[in-house]
Amino acid sequence: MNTQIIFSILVLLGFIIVPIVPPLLILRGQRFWAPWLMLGSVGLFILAAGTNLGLQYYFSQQIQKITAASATGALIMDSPEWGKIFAQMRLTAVLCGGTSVLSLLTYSAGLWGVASRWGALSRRAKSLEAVTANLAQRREGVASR
Amino acid sequence: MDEETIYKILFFFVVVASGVFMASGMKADSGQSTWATKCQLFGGLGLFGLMGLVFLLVIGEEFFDEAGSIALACGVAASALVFTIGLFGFCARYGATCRRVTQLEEIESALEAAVAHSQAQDRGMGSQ
Repeated sequence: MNTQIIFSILVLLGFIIVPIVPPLLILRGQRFWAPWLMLGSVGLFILAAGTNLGLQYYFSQQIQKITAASATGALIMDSPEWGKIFAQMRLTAVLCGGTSVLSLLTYSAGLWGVASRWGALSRRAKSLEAVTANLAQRREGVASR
Repeated sequence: MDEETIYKILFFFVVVASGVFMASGMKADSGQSTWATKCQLFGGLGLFGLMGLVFLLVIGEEFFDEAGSIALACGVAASALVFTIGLFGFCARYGATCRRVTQLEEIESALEAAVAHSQAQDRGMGSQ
């Protein structure tokens, strides 16, 4: 493996690990749809990135085969084999890029869901603290009688 | 539709996503303001502004020189970092608040049961 592949795998791992942690931090406390959407979008990104990496490897193997079979030992740009692979590479780039952007959009939607529940949750925590303090006082009052 | 137009549309959706990131920061900050929600808000704002600028430059087919491109990339990376730090802080606090609410709900139900039991005992003693 050359340095470029190792670097791209490290970057990909960063792109996968960093977005996975926030929904997991939320899911430790409460389970609702928004963190699951965030996790699902990371899964979609892993699918797109994995497919892209696999197909890039496949295309590089195909290009090596064409290059080895050519008379000059170089890639002939106007050959039909190269044209076919080039079209497949373009299609892969568009599809994987589109899926990655879709995963980014769903991740942001999940984050929006989490953020919009934050205010209500913090108000609920405050009101519950007041209610439990009141109940504890009432219990002490009843017990003292 | 040619490939370039498809990439421009995809990039537009990236700008939309960064706008939603910024809006989520605003929403979180309006709910309960902490350092994390502020980081999320300003990181998202920087991300959205810079991505929008890049998008406008791409649409107008105008490009920076090398130094400008590096400065823009550094700005995007710094905004993304600030946003990520804010997001981590926010989510950690969100999870902690969720756990606190669950704990308080359990305490509330236990206290309600204890108060009801004590009141019933009180009434029983009163009737005797």
